[in-house]
Amino acid sequence: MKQTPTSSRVSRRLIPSARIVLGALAFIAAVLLVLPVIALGARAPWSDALARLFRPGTLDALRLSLVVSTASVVLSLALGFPIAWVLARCTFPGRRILRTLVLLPMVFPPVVGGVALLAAFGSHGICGSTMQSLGIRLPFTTAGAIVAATFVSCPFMILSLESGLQSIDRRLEDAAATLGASDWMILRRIVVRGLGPALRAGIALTWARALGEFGATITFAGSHPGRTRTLPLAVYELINVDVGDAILLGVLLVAFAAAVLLALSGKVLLR
Amino acid sequence: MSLDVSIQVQRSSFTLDTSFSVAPGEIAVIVGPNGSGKSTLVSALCGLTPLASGTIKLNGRTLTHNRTTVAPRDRRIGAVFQDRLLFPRMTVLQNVAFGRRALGDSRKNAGRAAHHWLERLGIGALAARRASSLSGGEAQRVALARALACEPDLLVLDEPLSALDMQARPELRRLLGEILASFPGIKLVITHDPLEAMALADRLLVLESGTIAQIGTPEAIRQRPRGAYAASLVGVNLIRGVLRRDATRSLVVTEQGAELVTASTDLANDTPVFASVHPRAILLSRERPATSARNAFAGSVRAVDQLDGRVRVLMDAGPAWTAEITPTAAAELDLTLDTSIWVSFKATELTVYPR
Amino acid sequence: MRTLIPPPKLVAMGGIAINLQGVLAVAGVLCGALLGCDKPAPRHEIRVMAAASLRDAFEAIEHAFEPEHPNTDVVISFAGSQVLATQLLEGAAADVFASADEVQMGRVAALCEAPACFASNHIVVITPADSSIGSIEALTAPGVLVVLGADGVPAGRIARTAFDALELWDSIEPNIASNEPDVRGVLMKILLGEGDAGVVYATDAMRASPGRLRAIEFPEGVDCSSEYPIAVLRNASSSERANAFVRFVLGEPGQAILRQHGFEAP
Repeated sequence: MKQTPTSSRVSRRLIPSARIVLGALAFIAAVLLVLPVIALGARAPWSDALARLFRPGTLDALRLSLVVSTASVVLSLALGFPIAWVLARCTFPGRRILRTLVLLPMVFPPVVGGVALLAAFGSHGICGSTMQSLGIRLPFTTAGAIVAATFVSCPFMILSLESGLQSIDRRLEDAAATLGASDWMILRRIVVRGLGPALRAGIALTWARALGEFGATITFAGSHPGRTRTLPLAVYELINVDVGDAILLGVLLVAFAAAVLLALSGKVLLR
Repeated sequence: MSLDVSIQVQRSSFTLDTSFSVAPGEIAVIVGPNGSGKSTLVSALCGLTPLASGTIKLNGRTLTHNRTTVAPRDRRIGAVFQDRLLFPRMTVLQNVAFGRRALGDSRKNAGRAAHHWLERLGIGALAARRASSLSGGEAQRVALARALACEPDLLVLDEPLSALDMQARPELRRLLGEILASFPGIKLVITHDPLEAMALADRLLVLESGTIAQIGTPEAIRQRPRGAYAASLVGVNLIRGVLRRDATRSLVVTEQGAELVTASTDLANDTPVFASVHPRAILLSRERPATSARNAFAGSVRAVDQLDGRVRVLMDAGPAWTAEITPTAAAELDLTLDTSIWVSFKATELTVYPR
Repeated sequence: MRTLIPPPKLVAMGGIAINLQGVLAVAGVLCGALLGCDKPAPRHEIRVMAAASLRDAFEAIEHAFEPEHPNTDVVISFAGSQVLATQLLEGAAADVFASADEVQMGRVAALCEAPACFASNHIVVITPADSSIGSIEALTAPGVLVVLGADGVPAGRIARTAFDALELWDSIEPNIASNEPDVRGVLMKILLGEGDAGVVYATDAMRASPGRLRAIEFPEGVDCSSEYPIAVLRNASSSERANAFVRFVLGEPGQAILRQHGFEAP
């Protein structure tokens, strides 16, 4: 990074007391954020871990979590990009209101999100009868679990992509246009490519949020092994039956998420 | 075959209102100070800024007529923008091939054309580099190659040298001359740099505050600049006034009432005129000159600059004057700020032409 | 002056409750000083963890118990029995545990004095009031969406056993749309009309929006009831006060309140 010399000079200029305070706060933050993860790992019953993990329900839940989180990333990308584009590139009255509204699912209490989804897409929801006549049923289905995960995770995609779009020099798009590029080619080769890190961050955040999603899913889609019981739901059920299994599953979830996050934003995390 | 422009563009702070034509073969250079509307003009030509009214025609095709407009991508204009605007995440080769791909060339053919232009500009070795990793001179060549690879009808170069450091300029200026000479379409260069303008131009278009103040060959403008910017461009003293003549002599009277004697002229009495005198034609002295110079003004020194072995003296003596004298003369005069000084020049050195 | 002190908040973790109580006590002292009154007597707290289905009944018991035991404050945390048992196993501080089934009490047996059953409850099948389902057998029809508590939830475990006893489980199982982590989840799915039928406690069905649900009882002879055990924790802050509360629940006044709320005698 070109800025490194400047930023390190700035940090060296900080007076000692400020450095001590910042260092102490950083240490506290690290303890708060990292210690629970380590503690969870320490509590896991490693001696018979394999036997516990290879119970049929566990692998079902893992597979389902993969399907649901990946599908909701794809869906979030397909739906979040147009919204991010409208927010970043169009000026119209009510844009800030629209931004607030589409980001709202981030702050919904878990169950409220699920009830909201039921109110909209449940069989007695606003779209319920329309969807029924089309033969679509979301509650208690994997599709419903995907919708729930997308509902809560798509805002992360929108936020990332919007800031990414804003950071692209729009004159690059002008330059591409003078070189004969069509709108689609500009979108594909200049905009999407220019999104780079923002796209990676958006995918990572969305995927992580979808993977850990619990409240909206249990409320909207219920919990059915192999259909809607994702890893977090399985962990929640197991914790009251066998804490060891639950912790092990939790560790699996965390380790899996960490691996994917590292792979997606390796440059950012390892720099 | 030509570029014909007659446009009005409304910007928040000013209006660009200009008409000109560029013929094939000639290198037309639009020169003007910062804020004169050069970038707006480029943007309007490329179809990136809407017109308030007017027409742009290229080789008989109407690109813009009032509000109806041909999309930027269909204009066949190759623009090299002031800050190049290379696509930072692509390689040099991908940048240069971009236009050909956009026009529907296969990856292979586009790549071949891109290589051809990179070689032509002497940067074939850069093909695999990231565009964001280039130096200013390299980026400028890549931008040029990118525009040329599309084989446009009109090549627009916006400040092609200004982003480069001094050492890189002569080499690129030579290359630019070569490329422009062999380019078959219409050529338009935009610059704020007088030297670059004079060096490249077959024809100069002087843009001032949104309008074309003067069009002409560099030589014609050198001899008869119209307006303060054109005068400073060619480095002469320019005075606005009105011609007053009687039986014995001709005078140029400025708005402040200063009178300049000129040699005989065939312009009519009361003609609004420009009068110019070259800085080297001006004599300086501490005492009132006893020479045959017909024009003499008392004033004081405002600035003294060393310039290429000459000394440039700016004075305030009625109008503002710039004189160029030898260092020896400057030493003899012992010039410092506010030194009282006499400015004088012969009536025959004052060129007078109608406004 | 007691009334100046706001009613204690329900806090799941005993440690936090103590701190909160401390803050309240200080606030109470300050209020008393400001008004020129005597200091309130020191207050003792009984921390009770109770199954979610006991909420209404235990809140009524708290109100009946506290006037008889001055300076004692009953603080109840309600949650699914399985959640409470897990919290206790993870070290949560409490004085009394009232579980909705013996399995969850069994998980914490090592932490408790001998439990005693204080009530029983039984499960019922619930449907929306306008449902066409009129019998338990109707749950086996293809396409009926049945919502149960998960295996770890007492009501869910008992429901499975009961269906099995009726030899209906094999044909109902394919209809299971969801295994909810608690009875509230089952109730909500039926109330919102997403599920066609669910299984909850009779007391839950009675409490939930009257008129919107219909309850179908299991036939006589099918074991569909659950015993509610209560026990004092071994590390109770005062086993004397904790035992007083348990005796109150098991005794005449407590039993009367439980009956009012639909619970049956153990």
